[in-house]
Amino acid sequence: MFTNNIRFAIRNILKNKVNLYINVFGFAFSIAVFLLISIYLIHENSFDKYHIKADNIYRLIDSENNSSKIDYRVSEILRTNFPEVNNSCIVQIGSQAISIAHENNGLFINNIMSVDNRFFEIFSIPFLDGKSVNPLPTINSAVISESVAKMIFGTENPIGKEILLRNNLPLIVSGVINDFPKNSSMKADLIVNAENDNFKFSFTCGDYNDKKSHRYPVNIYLEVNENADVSLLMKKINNHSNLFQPYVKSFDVISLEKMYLEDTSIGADTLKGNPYLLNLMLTIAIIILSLAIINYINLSLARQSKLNKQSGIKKIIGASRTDIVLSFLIESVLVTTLAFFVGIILLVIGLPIFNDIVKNSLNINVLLQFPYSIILVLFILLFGLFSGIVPAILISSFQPINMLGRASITRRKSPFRNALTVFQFSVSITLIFCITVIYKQISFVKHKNIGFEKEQLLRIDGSFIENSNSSNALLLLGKFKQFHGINNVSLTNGAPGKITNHLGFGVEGKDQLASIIYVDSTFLQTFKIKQIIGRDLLDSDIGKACMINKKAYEYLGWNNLENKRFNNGRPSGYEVIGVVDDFNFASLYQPIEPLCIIFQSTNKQYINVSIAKGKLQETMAYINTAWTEVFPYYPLKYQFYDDWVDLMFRNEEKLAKTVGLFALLAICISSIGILGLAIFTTENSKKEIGIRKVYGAKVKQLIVMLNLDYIKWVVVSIIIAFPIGWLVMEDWLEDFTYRTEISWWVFALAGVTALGIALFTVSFQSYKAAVANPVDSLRNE
Amino acid sequence: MIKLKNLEKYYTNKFVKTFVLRNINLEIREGEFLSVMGPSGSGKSTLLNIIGMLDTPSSGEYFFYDEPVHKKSEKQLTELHRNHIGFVFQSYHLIDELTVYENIEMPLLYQKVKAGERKGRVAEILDRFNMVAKKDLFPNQLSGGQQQLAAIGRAIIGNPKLILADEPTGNLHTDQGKEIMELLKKLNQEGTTIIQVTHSAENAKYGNRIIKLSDGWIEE
Repeated sequence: MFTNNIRFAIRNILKNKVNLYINVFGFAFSIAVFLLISIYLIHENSFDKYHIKADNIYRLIDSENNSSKIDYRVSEILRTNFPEVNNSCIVQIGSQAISIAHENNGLFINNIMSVDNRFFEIFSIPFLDGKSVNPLPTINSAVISESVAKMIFGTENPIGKEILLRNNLPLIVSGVINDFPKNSSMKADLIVNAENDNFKFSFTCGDYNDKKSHRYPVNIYLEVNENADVSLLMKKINNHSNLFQPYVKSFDVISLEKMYLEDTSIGADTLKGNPYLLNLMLTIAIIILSLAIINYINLSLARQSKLNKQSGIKKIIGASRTDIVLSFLIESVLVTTLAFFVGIILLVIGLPIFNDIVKNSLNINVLLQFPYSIILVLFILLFGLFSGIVPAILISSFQPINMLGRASITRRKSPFRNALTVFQFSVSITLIFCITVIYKQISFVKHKNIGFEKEQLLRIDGSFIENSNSSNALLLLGKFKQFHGINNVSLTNGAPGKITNHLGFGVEGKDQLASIIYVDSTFLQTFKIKQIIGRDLLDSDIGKACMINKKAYEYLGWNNLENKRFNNGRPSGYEVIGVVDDFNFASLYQPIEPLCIIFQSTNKQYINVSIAKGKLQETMAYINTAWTEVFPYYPLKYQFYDDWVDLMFRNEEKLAKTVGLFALLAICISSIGILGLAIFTTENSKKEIGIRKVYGAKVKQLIVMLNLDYIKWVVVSIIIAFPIGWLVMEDWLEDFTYRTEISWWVFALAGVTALGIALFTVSFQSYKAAVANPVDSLRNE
Repeated sequence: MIKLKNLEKYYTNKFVKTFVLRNINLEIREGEFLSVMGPSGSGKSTLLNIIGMLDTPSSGEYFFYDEPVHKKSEKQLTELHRNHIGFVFQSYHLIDELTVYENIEMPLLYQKVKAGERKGRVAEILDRFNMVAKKDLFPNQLSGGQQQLAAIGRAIIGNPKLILADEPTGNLHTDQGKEIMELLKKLNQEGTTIIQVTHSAENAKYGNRIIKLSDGWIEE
């Protein structure tokens, strides 16, 4: 019976080609999207799980401040006082690019990690060369990644060789490790010994002269005993908080396996995933799957009169309801299996595009691994069963004799089918609405006046330039100033997007810290920043004066600048000679904070170059040549400020592109379904159209009549979709300091687009039905 | 074999009852060939559907081999008609997607008859109806008469005790119609009880008993 059922199902499927194509492609697209998103989800959830001891590794959090930055001495206190703690290590990952060189071969690396030797005992770091036990034997030892080893040493063996960090700090290579895998939330090309004071990346103190107040915040990782109950351990640790004075009052932990997606603490040096994007993708995947299932149900019900007849006959000749349901399910599982294979082909085509969007290199092979392969097979089976079950139950429930009745001649659809169609339209409209708002927001922030001229403004990284050769920076500055394509040049320490210095104002009752940029006299001209209060800068002000931004001026509550000083940074502080208009110097997600611009002549961290309009190419070529002349061993590393702003919105753009791509697919799947529906409905209403034509209906009237059916449901869907879209987007926009308005035209655009798509999809079918010769349709009946 | 007691069928629409069958009392013995006649809308087909368990009466009792059909569940009804009743329709109602062979074989699949036996029984029917050459054709490749032959083949393959034929020759021309009627008569002579609904007085005569329906009432 079963094999016969399969045989009959195959024949049934092949008999109706339109139905087959629509269902297979609808399913295939949605399966491809689902698998794509699954691969992404699997990848994002695999972070850090490759460490052999991953189950037992935790990062310590200072729960009072919700901070992962804890003084390094805490690590040892934990290890020695709590037997449940097997091991612990300290980790810091530098946030700035840093130069390393061997002989004349130099490069910038983005990730430098400072650890103690216990790090290698806790984490699984495979060594290609050198000892894996105690791999940093001295404070000047360094472990480098395979790719850095190849770039600097080529085929030479790096072990025992010297590399020069930041042009002045010699280190001896003691090991080469495999590059960190893609799914590692901590990455490093260079690992150095944290016992070396140069590699304590951050330092805080209450009073510099009071050594007791010095703190060196790091990330601390614990390896607990396999059998230890971590919540009990934390209770125990917190009960002994006196041991950790004066560093931390209370602790919490986050497990290594959850760190990437669930960590909300501040100060963690590791990469963080975007759970919002993951949830969104999962939602989209489920929506797309349901759209395809709805297509299947809708098309099955559109063919109901035909299916009814078949099922009616089967019932009359002895089939039970179970037999009928089974035959429907076999058919839907066969269609989904076929769609699965087409979906795999689409996945292979789509994966590189998706990789490009999410900037990743996801691989399809992950789906072949256990247990995903089993889940996949079950998924296809369930997907098929789920699609088939609704029409199966509905159609098999009729009395056989009613099923043999003549096909309905009207276009009347069931309320159930109407609801499904409305759902599809609503999803499409909501997606169009959301995507429009996301793009509007990105464009709003990108084109927002950020308070300085970011176009053609370049920031060259000079962080490797040491005091000993700071004259080279000035030499370069001189060369740049002479070139006709360069409007202005300014040397600064710190720059918009790169501010690491913070100082108190030294004004009583005003404890908030100010961000600090050290600049030269050409800074305001180079960045075209407007001064709104105060006097011009004089040569004699350099090293003695500063300007503050409007925000700081307001914060300090000043009315004028008479005798106003910024009392920090040097013994007598700085005279405040002016106030500049606010400009964005940090993330555009945050409101502008108080800032102090200190004028001094010893800056060399960043060389900011304003390039004349229309002279970009020749100027870049010149900058390259001049750079090579002055710093032959260092690659030129630069960023345009407008790229910096763009980069800030990479996540949003990623989101927009992802939602856009999937929205497009969802709309395609819905359209395919609606097209199928239109084909069957016009087919079913041939007789009605014929009769109307015989009695004088014009083609135009018939097209309007047929299209009105759909327009009506698009309008209903718009009424449902707009409030949903509005709520979702209002929620999303909440996170932005600078946010766009959801204008009326966004609603109009989404509505008109949906209407356009619906009309485009069904009009041809309506036209075909309307121009058909009534004689044919009436004779066929 | 069949006993109908005070059987009625009506539809209620906004407090108005429309009667299709009124107070039907009818007994049909095994081996009978009953012809039901009457004008359009007199309730012939409804009566046939109720006897065939494809429709349920609104009131009254129906006994099939003394079993109270009106008290059976859907599952039991399926079981009953699967094993005892064969149907023949005016418009054949073959499944378009299946070949002649598969259409005839279908009831045996639902009766869970083993493959070997199925093969033999279908071959026997095809042979008997001279349709061996047509076994791989689809219904739309056959003439009306051949389609009806296949439909009768499908109706009798499960060896039913009762065949219900609703205007079996309605769509056929005279010669084909005659052939079908002869076949039904032969089946009756072999012991199968037959109830046919027909407009044609000539075809009605093939039966050994005729009842007439008018506005739902029997006028025997």
